[in-house]
Amino acid sequence: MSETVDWDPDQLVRAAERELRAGEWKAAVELLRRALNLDEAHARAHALLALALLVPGRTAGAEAEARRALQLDGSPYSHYVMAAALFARERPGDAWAPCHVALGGGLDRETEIAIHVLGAQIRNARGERDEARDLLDRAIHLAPTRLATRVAAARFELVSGRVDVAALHVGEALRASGTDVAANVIAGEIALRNDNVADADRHVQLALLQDSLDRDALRLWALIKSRKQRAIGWSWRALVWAATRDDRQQTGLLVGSFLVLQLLSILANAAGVSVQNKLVWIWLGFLVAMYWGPAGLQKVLEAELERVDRR
Amino acid sequence: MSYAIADEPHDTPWKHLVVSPAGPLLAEIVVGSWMSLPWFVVNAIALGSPTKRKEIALCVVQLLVTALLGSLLLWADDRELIENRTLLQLAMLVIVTWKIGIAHALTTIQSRAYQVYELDGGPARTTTFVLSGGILLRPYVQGLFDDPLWDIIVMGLGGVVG
Repeated sequence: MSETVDWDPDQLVRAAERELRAGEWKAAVELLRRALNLDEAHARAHALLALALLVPGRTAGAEAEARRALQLDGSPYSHYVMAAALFARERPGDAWAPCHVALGGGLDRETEIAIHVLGAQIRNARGERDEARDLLDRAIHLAPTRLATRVAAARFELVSGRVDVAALHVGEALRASGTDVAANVIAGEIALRNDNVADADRHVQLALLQDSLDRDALRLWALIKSRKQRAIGWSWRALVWAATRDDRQQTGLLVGSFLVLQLLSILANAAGVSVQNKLVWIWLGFLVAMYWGPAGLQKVLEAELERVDRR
Repeated sequence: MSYAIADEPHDTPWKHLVVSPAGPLLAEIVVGSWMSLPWFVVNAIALGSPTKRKEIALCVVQLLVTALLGSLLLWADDRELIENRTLLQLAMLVIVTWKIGIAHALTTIQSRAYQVYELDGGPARTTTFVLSGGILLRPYVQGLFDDPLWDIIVMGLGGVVG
């Protein structure tokens, strides 16, 4: 990065845009930080920084940066970034208004496609399925072979129960990139719905070889395991379910289960049954499973993927 | 000075003391507030959390409201307004729920800065030894004052039914 020492903010922002497109969000953040050191009022730098922060899930920082960009220029691009940040913060109700402004903003083709896909996700999260499908159709019309658009459409149709349409979209996605994680997971889900366990297994292994921490892939893997080993299937599903919760859900679960057990203990005591010690041990077992379960699961998965790799 | 993003922890000389916020949360449940609240404060300062004022304020509010609820409960118990042991235990559970609810909120808030810290490759201490030490020390801390209000303020696991 030494050749960028004398760059002006615009050059740094353009370089960051390239890094972001290449998936290098850390490099993009550093370039944008330097751009903002030189010009704190650079709206595009704030907007791009928000997009870069969304990649690792830093949604609070992303919202703050998007808000600053919007204050500075109020452009359709800043509205798009604000919508993306609000949607990532699970506020689809608030995200639609800025997305709607961005949709009519006459932005470049790449951004326009991204806004249509985002708009479809927001409308879908608001339960407006017909509007979501309309936006996805328009995105596909803009770029019929675009991977991200086909994946979004396949996911949408699969959730809507239109498995055949989902299969068409995912077929297109896999033609664009045969190793894409999301496309393989959806293809696996479709195969499993059609009782083709072997095909589902092949897709999930391909997905997990690319990203062994992908939550959707792990869930599908557990579903396939439970289909193969019906007697202990529930334990696979429970383990993966616990392992794929995010930190907030995990702590919520621990706190909630603790309070429920305390309540049960009081009620049992009132009925003359002393179970507190047993309940405490059950809760501690649950705690151990929550904290050490994911590590154990990862080991089982790594061993399985190693076997697949050797084959 | 480098541009600071809103969710980024500030630089501090105490980064070696940083732990996952799940540690103080577990301390609230299995050890008690005497350990978890100071730990949340120390972690917020060591981490350089951008929301540390809010976190410290929440710790103070938890302590004050717990003392208030505890006093109210003991006052009602003294005047025999609570008819049986089960009702008393349920009232205690309300206090425990309040304390753990605040600890959960603190964990959620502190986790935002902690996740950024982790993404930047910041090291974190393991919490197992501190928690084990807290469990061993718990009876001594609880026995420091022969006052039921003290028990309510510092209690952890088993404080409701025991």
